[in-house]
Amino acid sequence: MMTATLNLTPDAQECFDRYLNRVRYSLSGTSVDADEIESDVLEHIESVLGNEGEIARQRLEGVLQELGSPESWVPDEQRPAWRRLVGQLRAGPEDWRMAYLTLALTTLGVVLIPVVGPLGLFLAYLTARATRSLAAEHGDELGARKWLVDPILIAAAVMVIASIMLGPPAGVCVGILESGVIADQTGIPPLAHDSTAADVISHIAMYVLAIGAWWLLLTPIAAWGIKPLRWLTVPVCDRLERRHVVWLAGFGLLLVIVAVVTLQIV
Amino acid sequence: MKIAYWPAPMHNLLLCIDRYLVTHYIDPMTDAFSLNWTTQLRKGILELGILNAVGSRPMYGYQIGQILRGVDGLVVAEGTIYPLLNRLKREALVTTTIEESPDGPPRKVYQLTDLGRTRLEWMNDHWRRLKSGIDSLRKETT
Repeated sequence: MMTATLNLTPDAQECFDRYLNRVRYSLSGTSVDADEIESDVLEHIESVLGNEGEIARQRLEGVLQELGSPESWVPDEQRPAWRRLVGQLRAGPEDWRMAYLTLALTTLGVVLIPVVGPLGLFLAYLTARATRSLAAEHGDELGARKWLVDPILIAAAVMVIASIMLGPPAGVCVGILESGVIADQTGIPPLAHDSTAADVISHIAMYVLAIGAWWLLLTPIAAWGIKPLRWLTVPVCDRLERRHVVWLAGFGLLLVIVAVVTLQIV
Repeated sequence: MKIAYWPAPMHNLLLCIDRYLVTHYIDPMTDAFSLNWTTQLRKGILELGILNAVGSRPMYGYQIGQILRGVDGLVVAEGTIYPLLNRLKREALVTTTIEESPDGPPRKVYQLTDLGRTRLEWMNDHWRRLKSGIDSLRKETT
């Protein structure tokens, strides 16, 4: 939110926006009019800092500290039941309960894989995402909590990345090569017990070729959908940028060249 | 705590455990109790404080916060008053008008309604009776 009369530094503006997000979040689901409170908060800050020049983050933080944590403004009994539950789980001196819940669900999911594993892991994934989102909304760093929250997220991200990068070419290769559909055209028969070393190498080269070609094809799609990709693969690809996607094209091209050369030699 | 029928080393060990439990569990419980008690007490009284402040003269949110801050222990976070003012407005105990300010943007000024004044008188009366009752109880115990 841009402030009409306050002259905030970019840093202070970011801090102020984050605070207003917390105000809005903490009042959502209650009977309090969040828009009005937001304008009250703005008026309050203008009353204190209105006559000052450019306001630095530290100065603004002092005023926000006096206003206090928006989460404490509304009594718990006025909040929706689900928010109270989340609040209770998060309550504690170090705000670690959501992280512990994530770890518990991850462990439960892994230990009880045949019974309720997938459900436990899915819930652990959701709790982990919620923990990260809440920390971000509150302007907190996850800190050491990432050791409890990130394992399930990293596992999920690795699965997503592997599925996207290797799934389609592997599926196509298995479908085409191992069924022998193009054995006559390529001269590469399906793998069998009596396959020669040259056949095995040709197979590997074909897989590498398919993967390389897929990565080349994937490059513009990944560059276009970089935000959804980041969102899907939190926290592994948090810092993914377009230049990294260009590397993907480079690696793809390299794989294609290596595969073609290998096929020529074999 | 005296456990005479235990051998001396065991007695000392139990005393150590007892001291540990008292230090680590009983004291934090007392702190949690006092924190919860003051929070609950403040919750009800803050509304009375706001109505009394607005009852003296129309004023804007920041001024109300400043006045209440002068009452020791009443306002921990100034932002708390805004959702409360919002509720008092919904219940038609206060109204707001926008007034131009000479040194800044227009401000929302709160003032008590007739209904608010009636409620305030009732609350002040109740508060007086409650306070005098507790005071007389304190005199009896001391």
